[in-house]
Amino acid sequence: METLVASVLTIVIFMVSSLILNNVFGSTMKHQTGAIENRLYELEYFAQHHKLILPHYEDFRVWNLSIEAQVKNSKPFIFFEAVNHTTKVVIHYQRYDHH
Amino acid sequence: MRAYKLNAGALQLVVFIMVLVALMLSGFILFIHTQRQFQIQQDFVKTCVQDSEQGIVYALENAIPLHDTLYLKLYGEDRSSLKVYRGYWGIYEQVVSHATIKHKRFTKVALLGRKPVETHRPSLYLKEHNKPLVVVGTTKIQGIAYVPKRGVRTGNIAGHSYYGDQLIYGPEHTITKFPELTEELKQQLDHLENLIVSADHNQFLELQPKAELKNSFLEPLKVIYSPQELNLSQVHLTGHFLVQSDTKIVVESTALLQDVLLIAPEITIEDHVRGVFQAFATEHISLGFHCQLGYPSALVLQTKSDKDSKEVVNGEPQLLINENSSVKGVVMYLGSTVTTPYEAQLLVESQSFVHGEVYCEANLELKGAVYGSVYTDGFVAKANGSNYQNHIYNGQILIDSLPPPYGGLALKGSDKTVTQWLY
Repeated sequence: METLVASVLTIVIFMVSSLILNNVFGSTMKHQTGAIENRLYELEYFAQHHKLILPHYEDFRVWNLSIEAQVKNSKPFIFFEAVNHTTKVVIHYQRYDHH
Repeated sequence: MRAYKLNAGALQLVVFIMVLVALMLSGFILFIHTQRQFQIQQDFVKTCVQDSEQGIVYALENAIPLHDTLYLKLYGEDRSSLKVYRGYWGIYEQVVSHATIKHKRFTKVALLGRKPVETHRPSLYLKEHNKPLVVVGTTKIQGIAYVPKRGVRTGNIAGHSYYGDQLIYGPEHTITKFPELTEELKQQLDHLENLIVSADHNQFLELQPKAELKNSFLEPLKVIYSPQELNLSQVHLTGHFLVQSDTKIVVESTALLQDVLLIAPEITIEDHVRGVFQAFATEHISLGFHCQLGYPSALVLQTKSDKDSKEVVNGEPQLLINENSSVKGVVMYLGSTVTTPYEAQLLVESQSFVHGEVYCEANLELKGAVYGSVYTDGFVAKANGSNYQNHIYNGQILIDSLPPPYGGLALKGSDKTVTQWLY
């Protein structure tokens, strides 16, 4: 009887811990945006030096990238957006455009 | 008794495993957590750097009130704040961009110069005085040239004719409008001497021999002032320094000046001087032999109207660049136009180079080479005791030798560009 309780407890412990581990790993993986950020900075550099025709759209691994030039408050901006099409994580920022 | 022992044994083991797993798990979570914290801090630093860069970009494109701090909302978020300040350092604009996120800060300081809106920088602007431009000897003008209505001709000085096979190596246009400095820069130059008035007591420095001084552009200005002649020898000055004298400044070859301002009625730069500085005088500037002034330097002579009569007498050029010297930046003569039509007020000697711009509101004698643009009221060439008006004798103006990112003089209707990143 006691051995049964003990083994059930052990199983429960391992289950809970594996769930926690899975969760932690999962969220870390989900927030791993290093590669896509680097790609965005690379494209930003090109855009700054007018080597990129705007608007620019591309797929980068699981990310959909879009770079668009827009005027906001009568000031030219470049909008950068990346959407992960599996996790729906969105990265977006804007930069002043200058020629 | 035995059964009791067995019970405890199994449960003890479970408790032991539980503790072990809990320890490992908490350790692991702690590790992930600290890693993420560091990542967030690192993101803040990265965003700070990018934001401060954005401040500079903003200043390139938009008008910011002079000597004022502007608060920018970059993303409509409260967590980051961006302050941009605009002032002047000599003839160049100085922009300080300061980004803050939480307790992370980053500041960038840039000197802004100007470049024309057009993709090709013109090589020559010669003011209309109903006289043609005459090219003689080994003169070469390359690039877009704006010349008077009567055009360009070849001439003959002391038996030397023009040796080129083309008058101008590039498109030639009739000049319609002479480029002018921006009103702001003119005001800035007029009030340059008063920069010292706003300085506080503790900003003044006594110059010790063999001093090596550094001052960041984020710190308040440091002033070295003397009502008498100032002799800069065996000193190293780097950064936010103003050296001013009421009579004369002499820069010796043992002095090393980096990004400083010199203001005096008369400035003499001796032979073999190296450095990067901006010199402002009202009476006389002479640059010695074998000097090398790096980018972005400036030699500016601005005459005062009441001093003109005195200068006519001696007839010597007021702004002189001697042989084998090179200046990277701006050489500028400002003052009432041509009181002595046959004398040169600005002389660039043979074998000397100006990489950048020469702006002259009087007569320019060009014997050396300008790798960049020349804006002048008129040319003068001296040979065999005669003075030839609007002649260039063995001078060169080559625009293609100027690197495209060059940013220089603030002329009306030009774009801003970063000339130098300061510290």
